[in-house]
Amino acid sequence: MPLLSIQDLRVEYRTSSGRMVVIPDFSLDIEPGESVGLVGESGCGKSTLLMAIMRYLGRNGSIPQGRILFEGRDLVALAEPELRQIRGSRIAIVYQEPATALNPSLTIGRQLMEVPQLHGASGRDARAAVVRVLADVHLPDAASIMRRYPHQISGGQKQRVVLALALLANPSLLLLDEPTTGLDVTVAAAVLDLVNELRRKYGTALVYVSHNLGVIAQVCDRVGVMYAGELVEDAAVDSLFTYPRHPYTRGLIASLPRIGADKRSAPLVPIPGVVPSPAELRQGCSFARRCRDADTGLCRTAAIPLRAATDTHLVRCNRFEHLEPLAVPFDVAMPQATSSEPIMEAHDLTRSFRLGRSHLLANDRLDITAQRGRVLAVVGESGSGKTTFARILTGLDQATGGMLRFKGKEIGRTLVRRRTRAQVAAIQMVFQNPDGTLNPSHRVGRPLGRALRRFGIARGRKAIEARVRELLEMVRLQPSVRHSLPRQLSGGQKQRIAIARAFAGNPELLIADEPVSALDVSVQAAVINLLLGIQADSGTTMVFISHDLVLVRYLADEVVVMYLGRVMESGPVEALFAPPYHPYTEALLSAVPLPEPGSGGRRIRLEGEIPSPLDPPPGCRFAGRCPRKVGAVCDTVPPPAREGAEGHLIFCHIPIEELRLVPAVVERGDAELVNVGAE
Amino acid sequence: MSVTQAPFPIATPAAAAEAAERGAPGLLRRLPSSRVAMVGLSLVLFWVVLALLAPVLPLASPNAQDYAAIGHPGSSAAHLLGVDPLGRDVLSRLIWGARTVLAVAPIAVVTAYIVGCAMGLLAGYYRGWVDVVVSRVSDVILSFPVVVLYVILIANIGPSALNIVVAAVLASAPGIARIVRGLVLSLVNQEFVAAAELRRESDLYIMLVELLPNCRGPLITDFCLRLGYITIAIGTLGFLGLGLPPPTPDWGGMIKQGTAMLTVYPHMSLYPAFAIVSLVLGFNLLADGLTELSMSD
Amino acid sequence: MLSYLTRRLLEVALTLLLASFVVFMVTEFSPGNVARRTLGPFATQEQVDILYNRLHLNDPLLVRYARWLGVLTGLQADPLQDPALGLNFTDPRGARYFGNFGYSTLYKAPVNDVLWDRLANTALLAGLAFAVIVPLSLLLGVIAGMRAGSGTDRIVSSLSIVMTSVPEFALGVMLVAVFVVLLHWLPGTSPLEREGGWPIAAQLVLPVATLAIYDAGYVARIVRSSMAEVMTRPYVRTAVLKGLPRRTVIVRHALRNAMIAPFTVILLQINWLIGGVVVTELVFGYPGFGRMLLDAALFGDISLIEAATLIALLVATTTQLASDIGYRLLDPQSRR
Repeated sequence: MPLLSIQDLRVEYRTSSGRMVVIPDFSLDIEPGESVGLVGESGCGKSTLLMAIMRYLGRNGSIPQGRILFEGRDLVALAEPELRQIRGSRIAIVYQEPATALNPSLTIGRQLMEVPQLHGASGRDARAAVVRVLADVHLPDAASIMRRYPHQISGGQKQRVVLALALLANPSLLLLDEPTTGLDVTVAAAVLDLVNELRRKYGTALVYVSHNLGVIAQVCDRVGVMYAGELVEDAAVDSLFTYPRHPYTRGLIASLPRIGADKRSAPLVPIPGVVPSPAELRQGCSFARRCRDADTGLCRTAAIPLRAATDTHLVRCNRFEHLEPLAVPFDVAMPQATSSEPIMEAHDLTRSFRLGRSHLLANDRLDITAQRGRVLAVVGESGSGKTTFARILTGLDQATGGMLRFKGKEIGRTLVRRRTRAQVAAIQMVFQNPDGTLNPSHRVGRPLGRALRRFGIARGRKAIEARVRELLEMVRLQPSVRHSLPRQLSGGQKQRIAIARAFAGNPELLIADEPVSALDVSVQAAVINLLLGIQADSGTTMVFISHDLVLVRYLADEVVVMYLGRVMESGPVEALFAPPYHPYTEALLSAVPLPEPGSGGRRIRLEGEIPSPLDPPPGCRFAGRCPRKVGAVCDTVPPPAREGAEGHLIFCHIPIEELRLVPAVVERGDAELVNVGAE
Repeated sequence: MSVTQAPFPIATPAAAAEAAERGAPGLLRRLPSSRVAMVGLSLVLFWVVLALLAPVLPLASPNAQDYAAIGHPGSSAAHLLGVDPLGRDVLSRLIWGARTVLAVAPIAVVTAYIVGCAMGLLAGYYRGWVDVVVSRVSDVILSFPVVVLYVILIANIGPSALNIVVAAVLASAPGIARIVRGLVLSLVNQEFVAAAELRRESDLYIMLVELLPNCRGPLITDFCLRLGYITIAIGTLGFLGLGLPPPTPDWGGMIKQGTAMLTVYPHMSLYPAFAIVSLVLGFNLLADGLTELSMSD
Repeated sequence: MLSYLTRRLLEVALTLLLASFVVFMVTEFSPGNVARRTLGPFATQEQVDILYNRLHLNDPLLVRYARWLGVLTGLQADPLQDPALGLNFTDPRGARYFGNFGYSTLYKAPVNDVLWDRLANTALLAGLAFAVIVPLSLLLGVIAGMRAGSGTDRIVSSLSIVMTSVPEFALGVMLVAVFVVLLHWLPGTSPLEREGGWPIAAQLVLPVATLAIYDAGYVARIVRSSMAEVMTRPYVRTAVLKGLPRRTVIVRHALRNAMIAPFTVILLQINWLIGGVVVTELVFGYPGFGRMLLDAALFGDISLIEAATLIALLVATTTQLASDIGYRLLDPQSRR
């Protein structure tokens, strides 16, 4: 008997604009101890499904049809007191944003002890249980953690506490909703390892919801792909990643950059369009509108059943047997910019802030050069100072030391209002957050028109209007979009507007600060393609800030890796992604969850979390967490620059010869396309 | 580069229309969908219409004294709601009194908003010493109990419509400034502000065009609430004998005059009391409905 | 915490100093007025001019403020008490002591003789009102906010919005009309004397109700929205999904967080009550601080206005300070 059996489940929400069917008809069985991943873009009903299992849908949510059998009992029909017996003790849940999941005004200890006490444990037994579980989630100093309030511990620690909370009652089913989203790469990798370890130890069945295929591949036995509230593919994890059958799954995989691939060898293939709103009427296949392979007949009219492709592989597609191998819809050869004329040079660039008696060195003696027409990636986790660097470059902030030259002119201490009009127009920026980048009160055409006027690109209403249209066409939006308000646009569309705005003044240097990190993968691919296309066409230099190494590998020509305000390693992209590595780069690389099951391989994991950037020690910034630390010298002496190849610098005390001996973290993939139809 | 992808379709018309309905700009348009707000609006409009029609309604002059009616001041054919202790028609004074309050209160609130928004924008956008000065001034004024502030101000500068407006602005602007400052602080680090700075927009443009319009959601609600507060304040001043100089009809003053006869003829005080309660309730319900609407999506 | 406390204390002191200057500026801005008001309407212009000169009222405002501050703190003798002026303003405490608020021209007595009894009466009234407001508004707000959108919520919310739409002067009149004129249950005036035949307790009912109802409605609305907001927080969801019973979820996880925001508001009601008593005391003829302030303002009793306003400010800023400290104790996140 399956542990959990969801049968014909339908979930609806009442809203002011009518009924929304978030999940129309969903069935799924989970065996005891099994680990099932649910993957799909945002808005596909993944979280709603978890909340339906917990029977926590809020006042306006309801389950008008279907059963959720858990250990033989139908959760849908249970009364509140019986439900309480199951919640927390038999089924537990961990969701994203651990920061908000804990009560801010109770100590961690009280919140944890509550669970065993609820099940009748005495105070002493409860404490013992909590200490045991805290050790299991690698929070050894239980007494100190338990005394603290949630705001006094770090994000990674909070997520561990929430995991401990879920595991305390030893549930037979654990639901995880994007538990690593929002955590730094290295911290997320450690949490993921922990989930795998705990699963083995506790034998708990998992439902793991994520938009990240790589994460799913690392944690799950089986994957369910959800689209618009439906299960469109259900397969064993190997089967799914080696032979994805549903066009949506194939699209998701093709829109990801493959590790080791770059823009010249394997372009990203986005999925056009967006997930339909639950308010829309359904007819036929819900994916037909975005599907390259849909026909006009069956796909658009009849409901599509889930069919078995193999014993362990179910797919909801009429035409899965007939699908062509995934082709690249356009032949791109991204031109290789050959020039090596520096357009921007930072030397010893420093930005320090004073916080009371402490100093915060957000940028510490940076040496960074961008070559005209090329893409320079700046990589780092939170607190690395990459955004501060971007702000100094644009003149939103100013340096406190060192120099920063743009086209030979010093601009490091010139705030934007003191720069010339030409200088301002020449350095523009695309921001990270699509929801904050556009003024919610203004029609989206307005910032474009204002930029054209302020930079003197176009004069007169007619000319401006015409140029705005051109800009919108350049970012592949319909000209009528300019009359929309930002909230009417999707995240991807907003980022397109932001790109158009940045290019309005014909910039020579474009800074893109994590421009796609908030977007779904399929949309990411489209925005990246667009950005790279415009950049290459216009010959603009791009500084691309990111924490996503795979993406950086894909699009960058040169890379700078930063940690706590210092440059750790810099050089051409190929050199950086092969040994010798800086130990930090190596850790970052091995923290990337790859969408290739079993690719775990050799890993190094970092202990702890990014330390406070206040009053850093005089030696190497990374010394505190470095798994290859040499000795006291790392703490006291700034590391020397070691040259790996031409232009490849590693700031480390370990001699370069020794660093060369480290095996590659990732093999350079051949970037072959998904081998659909190979069977 | 050749990209074969079709341009993105913008969201479907239905979805777009629905989205446009949301948020502050659609707030006033969506008013009819909130029953609470509609009840509030009708109460306010009731008084607005009466006040506008005052000159054409078949009313006795608000200041004409009917000495014959003083003996029997209750409701009669000639005086629907009776007369006050001086023999003046209560109904007429109520309606003419509505004109006073509905002129003075909005003028005071609008003026307070201009001052308060300016203070809040400057403090929130420039921060530093501007913020220190504005916040300190606000703190000092807000540390006065409101009624006490009104009393000592009006007692010293004398009761008149203008002075009531001045006092109301002085008492309200710091509160508005505080709200605007808070909103601006939450907005000023948003990326669209940085984007405007990267176009070299002037500070004035950023404050008025980029920041202020995004404050309107909470401010619309506060505006309605404040209309209620100022209505109460005007009534209170009238009641304390610091309102508009007689014989101007003024609800607070009418209640005050009626209290002398309260044990015998309570209607003289009760009618204006109900009038002021209904108007304040109207403003409060309107504010409540607007809050509800802005939270519902 | 200690450094925070000292910083806040200094801020409060600065606010008080600035506010006292505002008070002084408003009441004594025109010096001619000061002399005239001190002597009353029947003095001749000649007498007014003599006093004007003796008091050096042509000095700049700041100088006069410094002198006034000197009298208040006991550094300087009150010039009005100088027998040479012939005003016959005498204070048994002497002409120089800390807290010398001067001489009330309205009551023809030192301010300190007039002030404190009335303040005690008002403290009784406001204290009782506060004791009604807090439990009433918490009860209403929590009940409504616990299940936002339910029938109970709608009823309680409507009730509290009506409550807060009735200003004190209107409410007082209405209560008198019902409980005094119609039902004869309670007295319409509250002189706090036994002679009227009504016990003191009965005399207090209507003034307390008048003060409390408007304010309780206001606070209840704030408690409700805070409670409703907290109930939607993820940590409440965590608590529910732990399997905790609803009661525990509300009492342990929701209530405390829901009280953090209203706490400040509740303490600030003390500030509001000071204003409220001015109106309520007038309605019921209650011999308190508020009515005294109003009478002083209407009469032009400069010393008494200044003294009363300063006391009101002192109470207000102290409450502000208390609410800040309480907030830090209540909200672990503000402590760091």
